[in-house]
Amino acid sequence: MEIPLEDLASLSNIERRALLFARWLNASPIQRVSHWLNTTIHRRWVQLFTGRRVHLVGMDKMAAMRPDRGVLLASNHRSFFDQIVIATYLYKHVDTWPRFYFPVRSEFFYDSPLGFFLNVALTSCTMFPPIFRPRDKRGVTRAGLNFLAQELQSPATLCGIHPEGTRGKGPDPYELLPAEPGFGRVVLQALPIVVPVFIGGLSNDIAREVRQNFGARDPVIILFGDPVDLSDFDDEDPRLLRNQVKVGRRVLQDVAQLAEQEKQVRQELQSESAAPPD
Amino acid sequence: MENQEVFDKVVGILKPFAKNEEALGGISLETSLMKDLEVNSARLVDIVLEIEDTFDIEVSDDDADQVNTVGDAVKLIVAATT
Repeated sequence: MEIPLEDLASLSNIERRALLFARWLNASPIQRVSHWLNTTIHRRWVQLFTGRRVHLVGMDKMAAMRPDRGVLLASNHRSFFDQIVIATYLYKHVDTWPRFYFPVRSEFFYDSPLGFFLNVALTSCTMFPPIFRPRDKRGVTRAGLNFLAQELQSPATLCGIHPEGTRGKGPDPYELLPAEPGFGRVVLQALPIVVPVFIGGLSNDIAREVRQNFGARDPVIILFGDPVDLSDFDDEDPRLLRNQVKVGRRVLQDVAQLAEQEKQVRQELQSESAAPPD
Repeated sequence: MENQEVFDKVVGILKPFAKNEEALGGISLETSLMKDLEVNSARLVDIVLEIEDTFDIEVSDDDADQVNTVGDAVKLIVAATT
């Protein structure tokens, strides 16, 4: 990831150190150790606290995938834990990809010692690259998006992004926000295989989530859809805002379809659990 | 197209997005979209798309990033239409 010096200078001391460390970790041979930690150790903690509630749809398609280029998972975003839970079950069921990236907003994970410690300790810095919101730090964000687009040329890369860019906070958990242009830019630059994902059932309360796993078990449903047909966009200019917005809308249409499917799956699971035993 | 004409059209586009109506009353080329008009950052994309439709131009994300004030928007449009 190439970052111009003047852009690096726009970051605070801790942001700069955290970014450079995460960049080094992802590029060094230690990344293999990090990958092993994620796929064999870290995922088990999340499984322990979610395993009794998680219901997967379409994971078999992910496991059967033999991609000729990078894969981008485009999922809705409602809970802080969406991406980490999706990653956990990918790590459990799929061993196709040796490199994972889950870009994250810089707030907390790159601007506080505790946040960065958690990024290292729980994800081995796969929450990379950081997305900086302030306009004066956009150069670094752009460098990060270019890096992702480059990495997604390789079939060894899987990247999980929330096209909406921020969590949906409205009353309807199935409502999606508009996609951020940066998402469209990465897709248009890299032309990866884009897999829509919908995850439902998680809150932001970690204690509730643990209780749910051992108690009432409101299901967490993760649906992986078929790759989005983006062939219409093959020759479109990635720099144009309008194209970026169009791609985002197209991908979110498929995520919205999965949201409808999730409602049906949830209803079926609830009917099953309410039915008297044979 | 004259700068004043572009300015007037830009103000028309900004009106529904501006939260600070008082600042809208005294709008000038120096008025900041986010600080003065209190436009939500997420809506800046919609403003640029409206500008594209109104003036029949295409805007790159790099150019859109440079738009901080009304004057920046006017400059962008004038450069793209001349």
